[in-house]
Amino acid sequence: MRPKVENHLTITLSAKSENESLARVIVAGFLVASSACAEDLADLKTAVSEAVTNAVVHAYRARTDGRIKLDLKLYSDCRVRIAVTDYGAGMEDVALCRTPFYTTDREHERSGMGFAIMETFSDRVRVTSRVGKGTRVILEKRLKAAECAA
Amino acid sequence: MAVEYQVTDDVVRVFIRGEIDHHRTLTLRKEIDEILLAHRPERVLLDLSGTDFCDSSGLGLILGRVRVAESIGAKVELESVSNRVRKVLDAAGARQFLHYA
Repeated sequence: MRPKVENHLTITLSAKSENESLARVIVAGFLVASSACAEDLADLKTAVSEAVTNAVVHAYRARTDGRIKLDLKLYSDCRVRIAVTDYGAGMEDVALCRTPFYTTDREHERSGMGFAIMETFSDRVRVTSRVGKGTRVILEKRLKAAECAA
Repeated sequence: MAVEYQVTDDVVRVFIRGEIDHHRTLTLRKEIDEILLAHRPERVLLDLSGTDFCDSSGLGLILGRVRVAESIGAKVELESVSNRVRKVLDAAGARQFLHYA
């Protein structure tokens, strides 16, 4: 039987660096409500921070009106799905961008390890992107079942 | 928020408090470099006892300070790193580039 959605939160943020911590607070709040354990919460906070930061830094370089949508779902099988979507520049070569240490912003000391960290702290990372249209990063993680509220 | 630091002989200890993310690195980078270039120590200790969050932007900040310190002949060590922050730094493959006090 297909798992059903137990809880769902959608929110849109301005693509400003100040909102990187706000995104983490939102994710933490949703995961606390889902009874996630401290480690799962910390892992997903970090993964989302990476995805949101990528959108802030790369999607809307010269613009100040960019938006980032967070979509969080908790499923009945204790899996969390977090989609981070921007409507900005998009990536021509997603596989290249996901390569460890690769960055287009070395001048500002970007380590190029954002995707590596997302992959370490999530069970699954999917990325879709279209040049000129935007990028969606989907992070999935199964919460430790003993604590999960689903 | 000004970065706190202590100078003892040829050692500068910089206290980085709060979450280290991209937004904060925008000011931390400049503040820490000003301290290093003003004092030109032999040894730099980055004290992370006041932070329990660091993502890859924080790693970029740390590695950038290592580069700046090395350019003035100083060695950088990380101090009081929480298990959580160490987990992130290890996940980023940074262990080979960092020294822990």
